[in-house]
Amino acid sequence: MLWGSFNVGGSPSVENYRDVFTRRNASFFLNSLLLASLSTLLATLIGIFLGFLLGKTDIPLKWALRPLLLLPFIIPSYIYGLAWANLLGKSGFLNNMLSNLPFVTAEGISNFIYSPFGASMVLGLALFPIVMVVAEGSFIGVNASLEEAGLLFGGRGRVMREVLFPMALRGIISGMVVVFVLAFSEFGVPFLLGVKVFTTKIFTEFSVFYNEKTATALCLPLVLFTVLIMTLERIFLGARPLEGLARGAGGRTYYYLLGKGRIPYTVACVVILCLSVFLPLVSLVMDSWSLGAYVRAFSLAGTGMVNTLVFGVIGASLLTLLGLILGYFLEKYRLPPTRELGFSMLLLFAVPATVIGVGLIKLWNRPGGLSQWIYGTFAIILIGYVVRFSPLAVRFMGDAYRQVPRSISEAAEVSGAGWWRLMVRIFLPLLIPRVVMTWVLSFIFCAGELGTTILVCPPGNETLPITLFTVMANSPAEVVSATAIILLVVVLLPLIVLLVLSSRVGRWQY
Amino acid sequence: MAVLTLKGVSKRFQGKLVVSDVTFQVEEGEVLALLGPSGCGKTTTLRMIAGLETPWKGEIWLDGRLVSAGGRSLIPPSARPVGMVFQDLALWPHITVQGHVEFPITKKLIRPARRKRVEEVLNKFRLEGYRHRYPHTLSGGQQQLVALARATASQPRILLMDEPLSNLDVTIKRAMYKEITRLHQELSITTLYVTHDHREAFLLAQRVAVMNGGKIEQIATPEGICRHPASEFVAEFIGV
Repeated sequence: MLWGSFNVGGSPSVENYRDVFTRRNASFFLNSLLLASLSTLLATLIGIFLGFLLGKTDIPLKWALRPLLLLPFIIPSYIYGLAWANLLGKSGFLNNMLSNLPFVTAEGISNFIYSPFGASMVLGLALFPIVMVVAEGSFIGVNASLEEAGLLFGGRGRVMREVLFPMALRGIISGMVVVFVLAFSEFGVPFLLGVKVFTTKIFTEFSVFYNEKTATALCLPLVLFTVLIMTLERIFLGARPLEGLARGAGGRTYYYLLGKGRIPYTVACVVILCLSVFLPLVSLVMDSWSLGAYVRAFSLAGTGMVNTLVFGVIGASLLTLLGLILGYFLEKYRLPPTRELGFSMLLLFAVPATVIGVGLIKLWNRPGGLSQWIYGTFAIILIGYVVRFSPLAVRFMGDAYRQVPRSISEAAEVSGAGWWRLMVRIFLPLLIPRVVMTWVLSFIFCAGELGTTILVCPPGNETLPITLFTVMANSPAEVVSATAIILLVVVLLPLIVLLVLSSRVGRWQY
Repeated sequence: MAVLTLKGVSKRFQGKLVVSDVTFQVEEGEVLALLGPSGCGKTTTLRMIAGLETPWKGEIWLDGRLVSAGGRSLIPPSARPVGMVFQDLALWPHITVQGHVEFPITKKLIRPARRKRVEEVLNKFRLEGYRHRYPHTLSGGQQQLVALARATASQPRILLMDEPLSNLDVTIKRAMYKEITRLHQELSITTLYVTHDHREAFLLAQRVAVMNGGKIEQIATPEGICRHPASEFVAEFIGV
């Protein structure tokens, strides 16, 4: 059924496709490509820099920097788009400051943020944590003795160039591919900044012009392209044995001491943190700094809040359950068919949200009791959540299962435990920290989901992201900012609760 | 009657034959050691008996029942009358000592009988004082005992031990030899003991099966093997 929704329902005839390959659409495609490439470049530069500092140096305040630098990934990217548009728009605070400089005009800055370049900056600043985490992991994975052996022959710079980076390359590239695919299929930021890319084009064709056939036909090249990228990555990286080598025996990590560089490097981290997290958030808070704005926003967002919480909780629970069950089978039976299933789940992750939305509507908008019920109620939103984020949940839980030594579950099997008892008595208690994390992350992603929901959302079932975009179209800026803040609080609610309770979780981690 | 019978059991991994046409029996109350260098297929054989691997060919009979045949596992591990001690012990980090003993008999016995049995087992392994402790708070020797207690709690027909002492230092090993011998005398439980250490095999087992390259080279008493090694490999491996 999941795949079915992407077979782009029915079979679009060649006629629809004639419209697809026009020069206009080619420009949309090039814009998407430009956006994805530039954001990947920015995210990679920042990500490698931070990953190296966090993983391989003695930079101070690591305990605070690491979680804070992860925030951009958790906060919905369109929130950043909104904040940066406020900051750099014609009457924005940063715009006023920067336009006093020579050679810079207010007009120019505003044009910048509403261009593919501005959108790339926003996305790059939102997606760098992915590269950061992967790079940090890869750097740490390089065994100290390999670097120490290199240090006998050359300086630190040479060891970094010739030993550390080549060995971490595989991980970094896979992180870059994820960023590229996410940026390529991003809907919120370009939509908000008026950058015409492929995903927004599909949305416009579908929801504004009701040009269903063209929209469906447009999905195909988009899907094909992302699938191509992922497949290339698999072929290219699948053949590289470096990772196994890097993670050899031991597990000692060589640290590059920063010495006098400690302070400038820390400042650099803080600057990145300010640019990516504090500045946008503070600007939203400042813009909405009036009670009236919040009163307005609450009255507009009331149903949205309830819906977001309810759908988010159900969606996160469904996803966690799916992760628990599918993750188990993916790890237990690592046979070719399940490995392929794992890969196709990853492909699912690469499918743009807009395409999923179109696919779901094509699948369920047909006569018949059940289809109509799903199409007309919040069930279709939940399905959208599950389809979009199940690869993440399954991956996340699958990794957790892999960390439990196989003999632990085999001992239970030999001791007479069936599947149910194995789950309830052995896996669930061992994996509970990861289960909670999966749930919280799933909630964050579901509650902030825009691209699919905005297409499939039946009237009366609006979630906060949809409310935000509606408010944006017809309310003053401070109400928009207030709504964005409310959305942010609701989305991050479980994370906040978790942090408060976190001392209780994580007793028997592997 | 033999508690365990293997008839022509073979196992393939990715086209390679790792266990090839293995046939042997373990008699009631006997300790049989499966001896061989690493990678000779002894652990795989043990895992097939437990049902954790499916044989490619051959039959496995446990307690008069056919449990694996024709390339299929007929009875899942949870329903086989076996207890197993894993090489890494595989103690559950979130379950207490008492919980480990209780786990295998939860479904088999009703509550009063279960409680009685738990006491009995804890007693036998001198673990009463540690019943509420978690595995990581115990010493290596005590962890070993917990693994043994769990494996024998449900009174299995055969105890499978997969190099359980390979990670211990020499002093604890000696103490464990004594302990295992004592338990064996008290419980007289049929045991299949996998090891790569011929001294351990000769010390603990009544009969020894020497494996090499997936095949059984010789099955005999320790004495028989020392006096008349069946092949050059056996002679070299036990160092006569």
